[in-house]
Amino acid sequence: MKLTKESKVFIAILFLTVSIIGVAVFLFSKPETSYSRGDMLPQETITKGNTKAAVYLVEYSDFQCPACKVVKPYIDELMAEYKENIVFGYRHFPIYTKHAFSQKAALFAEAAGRQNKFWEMYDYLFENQEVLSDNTLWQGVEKLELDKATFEKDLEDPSLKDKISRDVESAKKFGVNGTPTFFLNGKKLTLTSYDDLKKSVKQAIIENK
Amino acid sequence: MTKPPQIFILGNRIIFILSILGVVIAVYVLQSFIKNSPIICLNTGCEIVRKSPSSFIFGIPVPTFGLVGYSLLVILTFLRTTISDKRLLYAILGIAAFGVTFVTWFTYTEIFVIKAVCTWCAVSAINMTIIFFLAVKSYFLERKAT
Repeated sequence: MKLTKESKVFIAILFLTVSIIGVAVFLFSKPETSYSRGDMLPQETITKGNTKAAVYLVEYSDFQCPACKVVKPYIDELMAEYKENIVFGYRHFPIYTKHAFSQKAALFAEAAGRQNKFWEMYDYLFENQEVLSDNTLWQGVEKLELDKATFEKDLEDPSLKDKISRDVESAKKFGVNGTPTFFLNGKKLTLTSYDDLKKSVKQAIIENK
Repeated sequence: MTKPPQIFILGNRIIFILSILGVVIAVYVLQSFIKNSPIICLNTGCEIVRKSPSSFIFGIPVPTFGLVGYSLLVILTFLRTTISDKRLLYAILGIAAFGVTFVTWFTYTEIFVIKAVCTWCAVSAINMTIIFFLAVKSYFLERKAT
């Protein structure tokens, strides 16, 4: 079999295709990095569910991010169904360059957390995401019947801001570049749909039983 | 051992490139079938189709047939650059005709049985149809030239 000029063109096309695919496969199949539970869920992170559960889910989120609001019912559903088998940690990644009240909302949630009402404030902030303003934030404080004087004092406490900054720094370290980003048992989830989140969690629960 | 005329070379080259594209799509979709992993898709149809029993023929995942067909087309079109034998074109035509019949049947199954359309299958169906028309055109042009 004698190779013609055209055969060589075909071989070149084939070689080029294989090279492109090879590079693509290499780039997309980097080994998954897994972070420790301590890294993912430091003591200061507010959680819900069973803190002793083997399965831990961490979300980096922003109270003004529309996709975070979309995913919230999925998390609520998961936590209602598997509260004994999972611990969920909420970590802040406010994109304040895009969302004017995201940083403030994170502070309000943390300050509410000081009065053990983080999750109530979390619900309130997502419910009112489209209308967040100074006014609605303070209305939340009233609605949740938080002690206003203590709340105001907590808001001024630099340690709350520092905590949010630590969350943001950790997010950058873990390669978070948008919200919502989920880590399941230390591994970043690549979701094609939010149903995948439920499937991944269910799978992890089965594997860890 | 003469090269086919220029016009056929272009058609053969396009069939070769489209067949490589077909192999790539088939390999990607097949690995999702085997690993039971989600297919990155423009819509949600790929996942519905992947999980449907209709996507298996005698237990063989549908993309396997695509992989075999497109691979044969790659080999045959390559051979046409080195050997001037009309049987190669007839084989390409036969595979493409079977391919078009197959993708037509599978598209029908997707729409009316599975009730979901997988983007990759749709791309592959269009791809195979173009290959078929190019093979038919090559056949007539070659017959005219001889």
